[in-house]
Amino acid sequence: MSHVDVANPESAWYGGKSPFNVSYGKLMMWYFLLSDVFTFSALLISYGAIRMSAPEWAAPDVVFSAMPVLGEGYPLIFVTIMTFILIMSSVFVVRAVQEGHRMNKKGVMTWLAWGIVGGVAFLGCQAWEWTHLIGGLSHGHGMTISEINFGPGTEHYPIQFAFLFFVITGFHGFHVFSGVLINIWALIMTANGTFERRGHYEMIEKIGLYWHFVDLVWVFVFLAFYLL
Amino acid sequence: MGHDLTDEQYKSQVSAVWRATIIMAVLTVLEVAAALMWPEDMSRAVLNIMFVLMSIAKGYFIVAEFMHVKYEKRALTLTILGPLFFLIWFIIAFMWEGSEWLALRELWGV
Amino acid sequence: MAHIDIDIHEGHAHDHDHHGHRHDDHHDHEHHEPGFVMKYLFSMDHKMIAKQFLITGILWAVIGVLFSVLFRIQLAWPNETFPILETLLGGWAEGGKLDPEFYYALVTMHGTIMVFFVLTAGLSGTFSNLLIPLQVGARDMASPFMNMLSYWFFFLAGVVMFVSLFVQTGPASGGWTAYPPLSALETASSGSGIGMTLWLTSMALFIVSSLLGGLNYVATILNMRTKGMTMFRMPLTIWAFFFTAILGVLSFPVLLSACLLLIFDRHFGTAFYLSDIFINGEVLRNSAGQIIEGGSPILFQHLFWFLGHPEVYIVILPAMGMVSEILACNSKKPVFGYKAMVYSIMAITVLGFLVWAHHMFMSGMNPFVGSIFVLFTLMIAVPSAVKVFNWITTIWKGNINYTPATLFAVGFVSLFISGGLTGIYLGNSALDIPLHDSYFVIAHFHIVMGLAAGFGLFAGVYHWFPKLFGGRMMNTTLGEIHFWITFVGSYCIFWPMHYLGMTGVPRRYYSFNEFETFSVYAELNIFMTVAAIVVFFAQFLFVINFFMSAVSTRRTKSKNPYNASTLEWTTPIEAGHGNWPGAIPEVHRWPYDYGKDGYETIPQTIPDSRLNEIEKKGGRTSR
Repeated sequence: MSHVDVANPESAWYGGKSPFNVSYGKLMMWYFLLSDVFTFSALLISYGAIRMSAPEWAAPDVVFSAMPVLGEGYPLIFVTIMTFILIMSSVFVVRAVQEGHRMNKKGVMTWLAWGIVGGVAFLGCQAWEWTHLIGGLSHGHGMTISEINFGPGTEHYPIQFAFLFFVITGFHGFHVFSGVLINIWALIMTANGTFERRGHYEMIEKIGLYWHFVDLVWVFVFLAFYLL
Repeated sequence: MGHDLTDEQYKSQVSAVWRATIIMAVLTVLEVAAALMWPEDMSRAVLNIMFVLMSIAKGYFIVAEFMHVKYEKRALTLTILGPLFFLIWFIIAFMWEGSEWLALRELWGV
Repeated sequence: MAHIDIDIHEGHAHDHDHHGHRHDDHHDHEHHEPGFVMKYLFSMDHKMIAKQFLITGILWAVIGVLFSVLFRIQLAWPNETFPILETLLGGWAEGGKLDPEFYYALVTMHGTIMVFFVLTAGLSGTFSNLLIPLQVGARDMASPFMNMLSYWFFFLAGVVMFVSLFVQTGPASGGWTAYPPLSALETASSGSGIGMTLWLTSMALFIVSSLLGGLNYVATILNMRTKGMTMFRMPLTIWAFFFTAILGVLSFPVLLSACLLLIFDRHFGTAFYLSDIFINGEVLRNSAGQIIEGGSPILFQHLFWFLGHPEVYIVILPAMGMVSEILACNSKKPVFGYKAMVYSIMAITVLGFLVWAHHMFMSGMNPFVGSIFVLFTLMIAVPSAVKVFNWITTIWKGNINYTPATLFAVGFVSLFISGGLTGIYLGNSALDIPLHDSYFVIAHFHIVMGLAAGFGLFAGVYHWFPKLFGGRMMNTTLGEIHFWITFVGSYCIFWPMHYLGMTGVPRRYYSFNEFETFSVYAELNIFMTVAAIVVFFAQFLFVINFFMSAVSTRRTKSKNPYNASTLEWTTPIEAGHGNWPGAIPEVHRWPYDYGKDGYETIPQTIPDSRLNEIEKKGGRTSR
């Protein structure tokens, strides 16, 4: 049985070019994101396993019912606002990438700046949420990584809910934080004209991919802790 | 990719993104409304399935529109989405084991 | 979407990324020679990085195998004292007798070092780096900078692990599998203290290294193949490295998460893996006074083995790829069933993600879930068997050139068959009931990993030595002696372990003479230990051969000493930065046109129109 060796020079897979028409840098970012998907999947699936093994679970609308200034009584509203903030931040970065395709340096900077604002706002909200939960423990409506108490009727809330929440949202928050730093770096590079000189804004695109990934993870963290 | 994007193409790309954003915002509102207003007597499992499907839909918009995967070559899309199939057995096996641990806890009165 | 298609213009030797339509401009090449630090230490040349991985891997192999000799001495002569032990281990072997706690540290470190530092970094890191650009026709890796980082993260991981050997409470000692609660409770044993923390830190750094490398390999193979090098014209080595990288990129992150959660359990009072822990009758509580409960130690096992199983394929696939290449080249026959070999690698990769819990049949997991894992595990035997049959048919009636590389490659096939077959026994959950955690398991994984993969490593080093060290060859006689002692000796070490395991001898036991049932194996233990000592010292034949040949002045005259067909043999004998001084060659055929139409070898670069440039059977290309 002889080997049939056919190679079509027109084929995308012929060699001498990218079969996907994508630079190696972008390809590496995609596959890095794939690896990060598995990191977060491991954490969220562990959450799933531990939750399945717990006889009782905490009610998210009891745990997450406060808002800054307005106080208690707004179940899930604050985290919904956080979700909107992150979605909008993501959209702003998409716009920045689109402006980058038109070599519109000012457009890139404007939209990127707003994206950074959104990222910082999200982090601020997450920081408020954590502080509120941890501080709230002293008057019976809060939780830390090692204790959970939301008042009468919540004695069965398992400690697993607490440490899973803090570790997973913390790991996500760490990704948001690093994303903000990278976005700031990209803004500075844009302002300095680096990408203009290069002739393309692909770096913004790659960073944008990371930022959208962070948003994507939030969709599933939101699902796990606040909805299910 | 696009130094030579026409104005129409640019405009349509921009509006595609805003459209996706609005859909995602609406889905989020629906999710939260369902979470807060779901009747006690209706099956929680149905609600959960709804949540999962809506989240996957949001995920679709992020990946396809924001991350531009809808416009990439199909082969690239396959290499990105393909490995996600491993998550299926990952999730099933772990969930199953989790419920097994609950069964063991109940059995041994822990 | 506008499409910019840039062809390769090979104007000068330093362009890396004219592929695709974007290139970041971090390849501004100064054409002056880099200084010592940039050329040797922080080199961004894939060939130098390959050597860095190899030499570091060899050093760790000596340490790792030495540890196994030390604990085997304890097993063979449990009642004797050995001053050498005290010299080497100081307080851990007072009076020449190995401290029982340190026995566990030795087996843990042995496992960790061999699996990660030697068989992953030393095998995959070395050969992926050396061969991928050369065999696909690229000037270097997609990102030479990240490649350099990949090595230095590995180096750092090694430094941290090395430091852990010398801490006062000793290195990690809960097995290379680091199961909680033992690994989660710092006070559980001395090896669960700072040694375990350092182990986890080292692993995190190692995972980063692995990830950086894997992303590079995938991007290079996809994007930077030269013209004519379609995927199905790539040598099997590249296919193997490709799927190895994919395995790593997807599974190492899960280990990272597992380690992250373990760190939280150890230092932050969480209970991901803990529940119902009682110490001296008192239930364990966290800093807030809450009972630590709700987690499961089995969660760690699942997460760990989700990496752990793909890890063993990360170890064996590169060896498989190299063996295919070496056997074809040295029997001057095409690899039998090239496409089947490729699809088998693919099948092994896919199935490898589905079978992890076959390491956990005895953990108390749901037996029905276990049976699903049995099904997937037995399925994996099929592509593995396809590969074995294809290796045998590849060399069948070939004109075999018995280099040390050939010997080790054939030895690989033998060991993979022996070790692989026992995997089928272990893959059956019912049979695993008596066999789990016994010496049968030790025999199985040592024969497939320690021996087969190790033989792949040796075969690769012997075969590609001229590419590592500019036209030099390792001494053949020493190589043959090295092979025979290692081959026979290794079977002597591990074959008896099957019988030990079948009669129920457990693994990780400090001594055999406490139990009547096991004490009958006293003589067999001595036999295995003596074999281990002999094999250990025989490796120095390789090490000395390696270093002496590396600096030897004898070089081959031809840049293609084996008359092979693949691209790496078309570079100059001392391939410099950028590999080919002029244009990168184009490819016109698959890599296995051996013995075709009366030609011994038709290199990949020769189109049908230029066949007159090659001599017929028995000759060399007249280039």
